[in-house]
Amino acid sequence: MPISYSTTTAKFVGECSIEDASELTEWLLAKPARKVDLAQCRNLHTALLQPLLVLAPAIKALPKEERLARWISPLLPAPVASATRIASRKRTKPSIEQVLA
Amino acid sequence: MSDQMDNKAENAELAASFVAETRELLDEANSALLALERKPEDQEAINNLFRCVHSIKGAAGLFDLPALIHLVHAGEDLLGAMRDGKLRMDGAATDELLAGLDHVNGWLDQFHRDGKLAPDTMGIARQFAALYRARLGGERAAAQASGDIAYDAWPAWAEPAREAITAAAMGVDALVLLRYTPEEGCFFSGDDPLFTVLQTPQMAWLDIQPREPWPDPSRFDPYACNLMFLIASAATRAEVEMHYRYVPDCIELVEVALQTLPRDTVPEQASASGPSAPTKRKLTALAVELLEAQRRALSMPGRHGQVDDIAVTLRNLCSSQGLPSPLVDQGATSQDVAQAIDALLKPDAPAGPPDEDSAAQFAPVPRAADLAVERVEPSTDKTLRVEQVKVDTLMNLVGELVVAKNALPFLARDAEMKFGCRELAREIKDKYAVIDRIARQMQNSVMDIRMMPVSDLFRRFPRLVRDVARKLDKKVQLVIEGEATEADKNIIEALAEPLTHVLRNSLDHGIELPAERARLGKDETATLRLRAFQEGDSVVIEVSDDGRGIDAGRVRAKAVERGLLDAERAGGLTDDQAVQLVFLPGFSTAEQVSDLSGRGVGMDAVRTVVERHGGNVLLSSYAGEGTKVVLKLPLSMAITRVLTIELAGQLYGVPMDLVVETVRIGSHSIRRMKEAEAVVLRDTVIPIVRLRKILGMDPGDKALESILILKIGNSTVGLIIDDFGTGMDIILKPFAGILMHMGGFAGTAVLGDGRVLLVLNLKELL
Repeated sequence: MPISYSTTTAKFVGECSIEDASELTEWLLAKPARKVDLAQCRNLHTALLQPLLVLAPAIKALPKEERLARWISPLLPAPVASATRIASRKRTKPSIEQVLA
Repeated sequence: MSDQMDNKAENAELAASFVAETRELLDEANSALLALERKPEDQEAINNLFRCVHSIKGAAGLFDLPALIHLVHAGEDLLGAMRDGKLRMDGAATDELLAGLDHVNGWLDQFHRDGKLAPDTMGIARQFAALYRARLGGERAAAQASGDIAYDAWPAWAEPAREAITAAAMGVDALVLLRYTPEEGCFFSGDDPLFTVLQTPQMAWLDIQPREPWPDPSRFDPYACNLMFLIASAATRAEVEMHYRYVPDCIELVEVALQTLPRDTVPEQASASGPSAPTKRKLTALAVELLEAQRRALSMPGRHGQVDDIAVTLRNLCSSQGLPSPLVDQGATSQDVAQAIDALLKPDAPAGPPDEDSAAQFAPVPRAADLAVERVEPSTDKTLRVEQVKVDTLMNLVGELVVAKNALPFLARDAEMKFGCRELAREIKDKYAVIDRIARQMQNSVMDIRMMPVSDLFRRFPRLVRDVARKLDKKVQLVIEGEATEADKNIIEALAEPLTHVLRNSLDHGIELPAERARLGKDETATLRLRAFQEGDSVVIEVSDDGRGIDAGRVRAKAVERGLLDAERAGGLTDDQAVQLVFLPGFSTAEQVSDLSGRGVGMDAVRTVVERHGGNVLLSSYAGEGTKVVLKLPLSMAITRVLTIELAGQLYGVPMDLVVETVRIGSHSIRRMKEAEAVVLRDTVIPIVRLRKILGMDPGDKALESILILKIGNSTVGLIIDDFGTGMDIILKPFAGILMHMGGFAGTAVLGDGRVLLVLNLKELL
């Protein structure tokens, strides 16, 4: 799966295709405070861009890939401050354990 | 499981109809292409061609035919440019396109046979696509070099972002503005619009907006595409169009100039739409339309000779609108005119009502209209595609009905003679008349179904003539007349091969090289005339050329050399008779076996085929002036009129069209010269033969001989028989099975009283 979900963050990695569209949408709808991390996303399918535009989740990191960075990043909200990012990471760990349990 | 099988059967059916339709489209495309080569400005032909290719591409999309689609697509792009007047058709382009169509045809056969294409096809497709694209590339370069790109006005959707776009495109003269609105269901066809957009060549600016306001997040459907991409690109229009070629219906594309639009025009526009700029507002909608038409005319290649006309139109337009003429007197260059038109249009166009003016600028609007017309077309002509077998069955049944009906007169006669019931006999005859009329009408209708215009046959010849002529470096114009003439399907099909042969003969042997023609004082371009017309119950097809004609001397020499004739007899022939020697089997004057003709299958093959179908071939030739071959065939073969004859108590049929007259002569008037016999009829000596002798029967001498005078080919022959019968219409059935190869008979027919009539093939017997 190119998108891996933690409790708070969806991490986009590599080629992100349409297969993830409904899961991402549901995941984002479930809790409006959830974030996305696009840093390692190399290709973003239109169907994945749509939920990002409509549901406007907070962006943890913008894509590093050149084209996406140039054309898509300006259309997305600015990434949230790094302090929050660290905080959220701290909170992430126990919740994964919870899930496993 | 059964579902799968159903699916398979459905697919096979679909594939079969795809192959059949595509073949037709290819034929049509071929002829349109040839028409276009002759008349590159023929708008109808280019539209037709474009439509054919477009339809082929569309239909092929249903199957796994990537190579075919790739090639056809590239061809479509090229044709699109030609349709828009950006490129001109020429001989080389026609060659490339024809060769491409040939490949498509070949692949179609492959697909039909194997259900898939060979692996090497993609390579070929790429080659052709590259060829076509190279032409497109040339067009772009040419357009840039001549600098006559017509710029459009800024579309309404780009207006709000105008400054941003202009800023993003620093240092560029012109921009392509594109609004790409993918279809809502595009994800389901595997599209990723964003991916396409991000690959846009030389993209300078991008904005993504919802097509319709976003619904409530809970009702948001991730699989419905609701985006609209606004793009500005510094690439050329053709490049951008090329990039979005798969979604032509979803893009709106305009090309705008940046340098002619300094920023201060923006406030000026605002004032232009207000009452303070009355002169600018004076242009009526019609005037704007006219101006735009002039601008288009000016940007068309090859219109520079008409700049004066356009300038005059412009002056008249200005005076009618009460505006000062923007052009100085005579001698305006195309650039002056273009600038003047721009000056008149520019302040008005962007400020005009955006929903009207700017909408008219978008390419997809007329395109959508085109599509609608396309879809309507097939439904308007109501035709039914029926397998030929079904029509043949129907025809056989009608034939049997005719035969069964013929039994009624016999029945009537029996009623009267055997049972002495005249009343009943008359009743039967009355009913017979009714059934006879209906049967005849049915027969005619079925014949009508089988009738096909010769155009179906002729369609292939322009291509053939063109290809052969190019190969031989000859200049030939093919003139086709009487395409609407109709004949039975079997006749049409049977004619294809002989006609091809005759045409090739003309091209190869008859028509001289351009240099030779010039020397002889003839037009360098030879005329090859293919003419069809109806003559009585026959369809006549004439092939005539204005070439060198047949050299009777050479034909004589060749015939002697091949041992077909001895020198003495050859010398005794008139030129006209000598020319007929080309019909002898094994005759060929060609010095060397060429790719085209001279392989020994000569005119004799032509004659055999035509005669097998009950027709004949006439050849006339005048040295230095040309050759004319006339193929004459019956309109329909189904019903044959025969004369019945009696021989040793048996009935035989003789095709009526061969019979000239019937005479009875005392046996003493038959002159014998050694083995041969002859009669003198109205001062003409007619050789006679005895049918009994030919068929190996005992000679039965009678005091009064019945002689059938027949015309076979160009000669008249008398045939001695026992007695004459009557003429009748029969359905001739050729021999089948083990009798198939029996010579001397054309076939059989069943008579009304159940007897079998053997029909003689006299051409073979005599």
